[in-house]
Amino acid sequence: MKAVSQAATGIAATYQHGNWAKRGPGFLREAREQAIATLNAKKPEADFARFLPIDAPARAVAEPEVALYRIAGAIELVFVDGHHVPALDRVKDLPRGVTLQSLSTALQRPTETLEHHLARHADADDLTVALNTAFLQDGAFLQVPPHADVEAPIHLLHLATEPRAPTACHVRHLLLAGELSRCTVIESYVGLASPDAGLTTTVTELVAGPGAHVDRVKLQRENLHAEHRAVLAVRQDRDAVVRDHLFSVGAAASRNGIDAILGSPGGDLHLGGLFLATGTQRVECPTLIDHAVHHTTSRELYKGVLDGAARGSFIGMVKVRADAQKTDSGQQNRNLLLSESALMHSLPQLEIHADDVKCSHGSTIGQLNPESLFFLRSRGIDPEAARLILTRAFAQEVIDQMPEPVRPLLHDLLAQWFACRKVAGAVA
Amino acid sequence: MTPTTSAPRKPLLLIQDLHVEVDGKEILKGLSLTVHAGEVHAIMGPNGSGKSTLAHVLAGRPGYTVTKGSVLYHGKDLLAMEPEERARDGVFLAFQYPVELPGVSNTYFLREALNAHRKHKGLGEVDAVDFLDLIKQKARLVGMDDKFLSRGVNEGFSGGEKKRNEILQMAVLEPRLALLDETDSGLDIDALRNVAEGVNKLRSPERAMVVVTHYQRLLDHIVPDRVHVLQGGRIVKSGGKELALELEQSGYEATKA
Repeated sequence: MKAVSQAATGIAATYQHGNWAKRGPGFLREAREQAIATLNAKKPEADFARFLPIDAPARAVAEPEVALYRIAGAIELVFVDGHHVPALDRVKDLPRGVTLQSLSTALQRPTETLEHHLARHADADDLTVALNTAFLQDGAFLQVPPHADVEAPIHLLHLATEPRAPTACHVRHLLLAGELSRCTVIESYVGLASPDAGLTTTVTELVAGPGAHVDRVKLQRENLHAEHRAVLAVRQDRDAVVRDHLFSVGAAASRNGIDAILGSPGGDLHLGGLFLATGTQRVECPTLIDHAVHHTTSRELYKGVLDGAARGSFIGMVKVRADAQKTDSGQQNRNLLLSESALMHSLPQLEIHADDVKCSHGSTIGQLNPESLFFLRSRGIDPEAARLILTRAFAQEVIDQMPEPVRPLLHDLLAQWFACRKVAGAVA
Repeated sequence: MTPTTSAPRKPLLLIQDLHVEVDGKEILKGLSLTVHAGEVHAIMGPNGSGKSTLAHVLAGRPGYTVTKGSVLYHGKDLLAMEPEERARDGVFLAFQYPVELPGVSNTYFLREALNAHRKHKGLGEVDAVDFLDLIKQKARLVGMDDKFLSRGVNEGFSGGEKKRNEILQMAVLEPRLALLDETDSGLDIDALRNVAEGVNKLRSPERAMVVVTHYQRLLDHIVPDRVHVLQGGRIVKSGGKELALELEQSGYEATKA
């Protein structure tokens, strides 16, 4: 075995050991070097070094397992343990002119476009981004040409299997929507039953060209031993409309971060989120919306439902720069606590440097209304069924804003979560 | 003795010497009341006399402590039952202040409620299509516009619409014992007449109603068989429907003695 240099410990040793500095084309190697330097400097508290990236899926996954998580009518790329498995794809309905391939394939013959965008948008200083970039292996590369209207949703399905040692899956997606194009991208993160803890990091760089319309959905439903860290970086050109939707039930600890820059006039951004947590789960949703120029719009609605001793946090920053006159921004975070020991931190933040803007924000943390509960019981409905009716009503608003193809699934997942929430490990 | 004459009817509701505390304060102080199937009883009394407490304690609202006395509902210990068990066994409370449930459609809610009742009786669930027919027919019975069926429960309803929605729920669930808590409060005369009409259509020989009200005016429209005056936590006077008129003329003061 090759000796690891004495200085290298922890994450740096993992990096050296896997010879990551030599993987991929030059621009990626540079990005990796910068990322590992960032990681070394940050000295993350969490022991990410124990999660080892693996060079192939830990086991083969067959169609019956995948079928449970497919979305009817979608164009699908399937990934297992961080690696694309072409045999499981469903791409025959891909419209002409649309590029959808695995990043590992794209990196074998990198185009200028790829080099221009990959690892150029997400904040290199961010811990999750640094981890993901240093160990970047695979993911999806989507390029929708100008004026293309992709009707079928594009589903990027990631499955984590049952690894023997704690493994890390670093999934990277690059989504480029051309001028006046339209598409819906759904990212799913699924944990197949696992006795062991695994780490998944995901970084999605989404670039919406002038007047493009992009809906992006993230379904995070890993098992209760997993750790999940994600960053979505959104960059919008003039008049681009981006609508992002998060649905999170999984992982022991999850962090779904968003970093969105409205850098051209007319940009319109919607961030919706629904997270459900129970037991000892930890959920963090840090979001940043940066209104960098005049005439941009953002709407944000995040809702959380916490039971057991779950902990949640929403840290929502809306920045309005000095040049960003006529900004129109509204941010809401609403939370429902189903138990005495659940805890939610809600921190909506506004930083306004312009003087002709419309900005609002609000935050609530509450419990089910006892009057409403008694009313439902007085009509013969069991207390638990009554709680489900009221919880569903609370979550409904966020689900209704999501793209139609995922709504029935989310209603099912919500009911399933509710039914299993008292049984540790039974969720997702 | 030969059983040639019919046996004395068993009361549907038998309340004996009921004492109830709320937050350590005694509100009902030895209330007794007997109600038979098919009867409509009016409970009248000044504010704070315990009228609403009586309705709520019968429906099983949390926060009320029974310190003494008993309530038998067709021979069963009503106070030992959970609110949902009482409801499925035919007890219905029409709320004075109906709650709003945004995001819960009226139709969906009523189907859940009806199916909970049917399950209790060992019957199958009503499917969505059959239920829609049923609820439209019931809405016509109580004079409610169909547009309220798809809205959230009481969401943006006027006071009259909310009260009518309570009566719609009663029409769907077909209780044996209906408790109407200040159903007239906040209604103008037209709305009151409408709601009372709905209630009257639901009168039947199998169903008893206990109508709690502060005003005699409701009893012009829902004519009771018996009227009771509740004062200081107990019934101080009982009589026929003429007692309500008497109270209207002389006020509750006259019943003190």
